[in-house]
Amino acid sequence: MIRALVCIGVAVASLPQAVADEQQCPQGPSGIVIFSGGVGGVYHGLATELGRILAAQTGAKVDVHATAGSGDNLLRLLESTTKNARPCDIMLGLIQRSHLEAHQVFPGSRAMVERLLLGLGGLKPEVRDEALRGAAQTIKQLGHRDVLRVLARLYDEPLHILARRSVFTDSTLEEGGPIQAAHACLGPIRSGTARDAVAVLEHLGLAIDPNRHHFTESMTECLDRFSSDGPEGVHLVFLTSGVPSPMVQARISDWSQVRFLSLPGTLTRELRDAESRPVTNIIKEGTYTPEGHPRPIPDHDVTTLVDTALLVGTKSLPTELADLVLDAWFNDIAAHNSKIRAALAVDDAHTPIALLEPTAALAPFAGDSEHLRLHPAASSYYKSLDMWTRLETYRENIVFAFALLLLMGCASALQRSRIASMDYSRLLMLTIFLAAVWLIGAFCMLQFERDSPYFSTLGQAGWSIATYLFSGLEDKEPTTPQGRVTAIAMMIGGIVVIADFTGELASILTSRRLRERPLPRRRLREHLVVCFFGEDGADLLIRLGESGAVAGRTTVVLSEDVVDIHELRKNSRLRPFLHTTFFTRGDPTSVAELRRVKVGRAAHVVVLAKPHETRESLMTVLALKELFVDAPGSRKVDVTIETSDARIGSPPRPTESRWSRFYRRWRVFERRLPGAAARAAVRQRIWSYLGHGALPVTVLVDDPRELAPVSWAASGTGKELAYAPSHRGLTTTSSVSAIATIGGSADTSLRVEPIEPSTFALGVLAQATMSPGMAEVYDTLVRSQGGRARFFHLSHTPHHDGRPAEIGPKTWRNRLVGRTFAEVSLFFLDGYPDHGATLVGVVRRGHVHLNPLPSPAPPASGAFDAIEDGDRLLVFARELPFFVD
Amino acid sequence: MGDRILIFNWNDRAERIVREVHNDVAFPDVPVVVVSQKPVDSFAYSREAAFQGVSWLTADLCDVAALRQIEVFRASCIVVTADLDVPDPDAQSALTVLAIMRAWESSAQESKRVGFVAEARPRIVVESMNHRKIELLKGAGATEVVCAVDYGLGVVAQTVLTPGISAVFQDLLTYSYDTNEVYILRHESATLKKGWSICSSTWATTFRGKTFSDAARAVTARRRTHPDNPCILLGVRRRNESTREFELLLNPSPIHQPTAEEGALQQFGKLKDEDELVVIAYQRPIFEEEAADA
Repeated sequence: MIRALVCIGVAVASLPQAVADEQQCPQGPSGIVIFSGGVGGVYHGLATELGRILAAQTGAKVDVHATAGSGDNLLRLLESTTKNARPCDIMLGLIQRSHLEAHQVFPGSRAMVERLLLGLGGLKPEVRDEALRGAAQTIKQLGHRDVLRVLARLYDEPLHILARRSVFTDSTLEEGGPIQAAHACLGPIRSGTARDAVAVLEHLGLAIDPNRHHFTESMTECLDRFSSDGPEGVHLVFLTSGVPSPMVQARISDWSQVRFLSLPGTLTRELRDAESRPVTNIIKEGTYTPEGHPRPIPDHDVTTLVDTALLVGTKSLPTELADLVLDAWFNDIAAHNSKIRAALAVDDAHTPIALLEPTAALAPFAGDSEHLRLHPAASSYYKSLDMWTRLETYRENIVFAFALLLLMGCASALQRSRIASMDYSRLLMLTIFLAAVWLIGAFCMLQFERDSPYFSTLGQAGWSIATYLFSGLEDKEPTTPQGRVTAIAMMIGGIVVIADFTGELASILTSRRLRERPLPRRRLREHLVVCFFGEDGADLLIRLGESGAVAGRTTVVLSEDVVDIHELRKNSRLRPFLHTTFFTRGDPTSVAELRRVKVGRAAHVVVLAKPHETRESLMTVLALKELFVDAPGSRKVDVTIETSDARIGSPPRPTESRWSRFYRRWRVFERRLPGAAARAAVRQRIWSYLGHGALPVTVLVDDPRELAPVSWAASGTGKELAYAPSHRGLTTTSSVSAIATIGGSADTSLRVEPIEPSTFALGVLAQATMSPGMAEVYDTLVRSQGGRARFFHLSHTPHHDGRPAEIGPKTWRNRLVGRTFAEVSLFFLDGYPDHGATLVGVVRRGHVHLNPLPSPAPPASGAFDAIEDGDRLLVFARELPFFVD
Repeated sequence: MGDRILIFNWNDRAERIVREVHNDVAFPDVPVVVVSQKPVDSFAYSREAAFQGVSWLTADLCDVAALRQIEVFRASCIVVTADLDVPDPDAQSALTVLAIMRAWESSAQESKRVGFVAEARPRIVVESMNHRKIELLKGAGATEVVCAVDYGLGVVAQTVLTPGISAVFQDLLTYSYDTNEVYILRHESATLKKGWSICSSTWATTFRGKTFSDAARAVTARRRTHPDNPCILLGVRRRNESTREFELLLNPSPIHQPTAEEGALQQFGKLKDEDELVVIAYQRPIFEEEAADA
């Protein structure tokens, strides 16, 4: 927040300057100054012509200053911004692109000064130091502020290395060749030529030797020494462009003695990497050959460096004056092209110095990651000319819109997917939101700050916005008021979103560390799932563990409650069972969460009661049904519950997936087709073959009135259920009938047992009232531990989970089927006395017949004739008995 | 007054207990006295058959003098239901149990002082809301403690072991003509009071000195003679000779070797005279003379 306030203050303080930058010069320029190169050179010729046109158009006084070259022009232009510049002066200079980039890349440093003034190694130390001091002073005054802007790209100028054929027999300039001992003229100090020459020599491993490597006052002097055979003569001369110019043509008369040297490929790569030069190029054989000349000049293809000549102005140059300069250059000078060409002896054949048309001049500036900053007028001028730029803008807009739509789509899909119920869903939403903020910020900055190299493209702006969001302004300051406002918004937004994001991430990590062990995905089969944990969860785990119910099984606790595993470990009774228990955070009423804990492969599900939260138990049961909608025989029904229990509220409805809805409709249609029963039987066989059986689900509820809705929700056999006060009380049959309904719900893939503890407890209490010791009997019955007797189901068919049948098929067929309950009881007692198994009931079609009455005896509800083939036996024993054939 | 049941606190659970106890299948004629801190609108229940024979008293449940005055220790059973209106119902129940025990002790001391036979220790059944406090309540003097959560979790564990078993418990705990209940059967010579279920001669011929399998076979064979109320023998209650308290042996097996945790009592052997049979049946079974034929 402090950072944001500081930024707001800085932005407000900067606004007046930003406004001042937008000053106008309606009366035109008060003066025009152009820094050109040496007299006779190409720069000077162009500057003179441009100055003349501007003077004619505006009537302003024009001064064309002859200089040493590109570096000198840059320094003078920089100096003019701090000294005698007036707001409505036009200050221009012709500068090589690499010089300007050196200024941008090394702002305000000694390295930058040295690079501006390369060739100082050839000077006497005192002169070199003085030059450095002067330049450093200039740079210091300027600081690292960006004060120059590119107005136009003029032409590409190659570096020419001219050598005497008598000395250089080979056309390639290589390390260890004649260059080692040759005398070379490197051109005027502070010129682009000298800078290039020194770079080439250094990369060839040659130190600048004042005795052999000579800097001159002007290019003219260099050429004179190259033509001279006297002691002042040199064997090598460096030139940038200008070969066809009168200055060169006048001083080199015999081109047959001149060889154009080529740079080896490795050297050009090194130079390109080290010096930020844009490209290398090839000067074709015969490019400069005068008419009637016996051999082509050059007489072979020459690989060399290519730099670009730029027309540079000050940043404060008013837009209308910049427009004036651009108009003069690209339109009026074109009209004088032939005059300029004639003056410079430039013709169409000499392409290396061909003046660039606006459309061609645009290419290096548009769309790439240039460090050079265009003047706004130049930028708009280029944009108005070239369709490609418009397309580029459209492309950025389209990318922005597409990316934004994609993010919105992701957010929408996330909310509707199963991920929405997971603990990290909010983190994902925050990530999407952060990405959206990032994208919008980048787009805004692209619109407002397109001229800045940090925001010139969508990708560049996106990268720069990252610093606003995550760290601060650094040196990527916006310059427009809108950009500053956007930057402030980004920084504030960044603080808020990142704080929320960090908090959420920390919360998830902490909570997971406290509550969750990673689920063992491979082991999750035939496991026990406990939904909700609450206060009684730990006691349930102890009960399950001590009774052997989870022996050899994995238990997964799915709960939204906070479960402190470290606290649970302090419980010595619980500790032995914790190594097979996994706690995972999630909402058990969510189908996605249930699917995550592999409920479909579970052996049993226990839904613990959430106090006063009937909806939770109901919704969990309905979610389980939703999960098992694919099971054969299962039915998906609409749920309508009418109840006097206000806590239930509106009818709960699970979220039905699109697939589930389609499948349900398909099943309704499919049942109407002929052969539905046969198909159902096949499906049932396949389902059994795949190892799926009906999933037993135990639901603990805390109110007897909740038994019926849970039962009904599980079985789904009715249309509605109305509560009445008569459902209260143990003597009414409501609870029993509810369980019977579940037991009879063979057509569902869930076997739900709702349990209401107070019903059991009051039953025990009532019976204990008149029968001393009854509480202990029931306590022992429900507390079966290892070795104690408990109830077992015996089946004559193998279980769906692979366990074998407890009764052999022959024994079942020959000794049990068709016998009465008493006969079977005696069979167990007489035939297998060591088993200690007492037959207490029969499970028939999911309904338990406990101690069944013989058929003739009333009442008929419990009547029972004989054991049938599909029955299972319920016995009371200390351990699971097996009756093999 | 000796056969009456005292119910402390009046609430929906106490109401359900009265209905269960006065169920036609259970004990419809047993007098019930309800003692509560606040007055109960007894007129609302006066027309219901289940509440015939119910008396209503208002008293401070922790006042020893008041409890002595209503002779709580002469009841066959005292049921203390949880008072959910107080912050800690179990603590309140413990106080009530302590008051009952104090009333009984002072009455017993007075009886001894005047040379009368002291009353037997009252049987107090307490409803607990927190299963972690069961032992505390027993320490206070409760004979049996019933905790809903405890039973609920136990039944849940049983359903995990044996899916569908909750229906069995539900069946057992519901008084009805067409459902089973658990009964503890005493033979005639083992109890001084009325309420025996096995006559002396039947006990002597059919059960005494027999193994559990023999007894179970005899009980199963009775299905032929009593098809309307068949029984299944589940276990035996046997008095621990050192503590003189009854312990439950469910389905004792002759080949079962008890662990140290189970204790030597689990080595069943044969039925003794003091043993009681635990059976499930539709109604309380009576083993009279004819049962011996089986």
